[in-house]
Amino acid sequence: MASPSDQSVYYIPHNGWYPVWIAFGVFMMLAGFGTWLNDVKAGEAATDWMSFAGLGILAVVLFFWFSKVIEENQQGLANEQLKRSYVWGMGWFIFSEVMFFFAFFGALFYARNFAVPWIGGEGDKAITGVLWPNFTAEWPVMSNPDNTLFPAPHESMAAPGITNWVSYLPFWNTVILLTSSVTVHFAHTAIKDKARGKLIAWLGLTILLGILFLTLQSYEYLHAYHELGLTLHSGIYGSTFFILTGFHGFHVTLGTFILLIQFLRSLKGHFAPKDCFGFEAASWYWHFVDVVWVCLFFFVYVM
Amino acid sequence: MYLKIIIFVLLIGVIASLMSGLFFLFKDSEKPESRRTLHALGVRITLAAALLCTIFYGFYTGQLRLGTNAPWHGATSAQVPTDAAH
Repeated sequence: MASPSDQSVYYIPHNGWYPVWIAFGVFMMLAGFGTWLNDVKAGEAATDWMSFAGLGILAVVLFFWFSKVIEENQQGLANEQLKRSYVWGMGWFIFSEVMFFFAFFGALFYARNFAVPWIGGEGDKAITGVLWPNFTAEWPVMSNPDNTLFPAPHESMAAPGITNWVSYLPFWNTVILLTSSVTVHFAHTAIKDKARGKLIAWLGLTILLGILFLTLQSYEYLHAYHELGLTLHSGIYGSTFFILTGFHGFHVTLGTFILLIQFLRSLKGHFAPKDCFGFEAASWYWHFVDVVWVCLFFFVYVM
Repeated sequence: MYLKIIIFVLLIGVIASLMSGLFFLFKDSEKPESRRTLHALGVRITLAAALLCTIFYGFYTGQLRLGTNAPWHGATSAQVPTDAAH
């Protein structure tokens, strides 16, 4: 093992069981989820305890593992080589996130601009106007090719026009998330200015705004399901709407937890202007989540 | 037309400034006193706010008619989904 103080050699940590527990937790979570889907499909009484137990194991192990990493960093055990590996780890994580959202935005683009018009009779493809001759292509799709199999929504989530914008929840959610980017930016500035009190205040406010966004989005989903008839089963519009906004909501949840960890670390006084990569990476991630939402607002709700 | 160009430029600007923030985050990880990430993200927020205001302005003045298939275009007030996401 390299000495922790040796800056030129890769620091090899002690043997540990964390990776094994992580693998076990992920396996349990996915196996449980798969079993649950099979049971639901078969119409059997389904409980998803295994999936939640796996998620619980994953969360606990991640908490202890990250705690250990932070503790080692605070003790000065992390050399430059190890810190560089953390930076690259964050880089690959972000790359996977960007590709993930590219895929879903691509699916929306393809469905909206190619698949739906073809089924509606546009162009000269083999499927054009043959399978469902009575289907009229429009976006949002308010009448599906087979409305008995996939009941179409009564109304869409599309922007209602300027006169109703004040009561349009997605607009206010955009304002809330954008405001949270401003507050996390102030927190970032506070670290650089060594103003710990301001850092804690602005970061706490950012977390509250994140929670407010998620609460309003949950309300929006309830409204869509119960009053608009817009569900995951209501055709390609409902599917793309919930997959895109739902996965974004999942990322806001993840981002809120990451910021919460930074908040707890701020309370302990972990950050200094010259040693705050953890915070800066978390802050950038929050900005990324906000930009994805701005694109969602533009392409899913407004355009 | 000009408004759509402005919106497109702002959207590209938002993504470009976010990515430049990421570049500086990695590039300056060994220069901790650097504030380039902070500044790039500040520009990002400003451009995003300008984008939102431009979209709002476009709809307010009626210049913006994006998505010609969207249900509110050409619709009468009775057809507009007034209770969407109250």
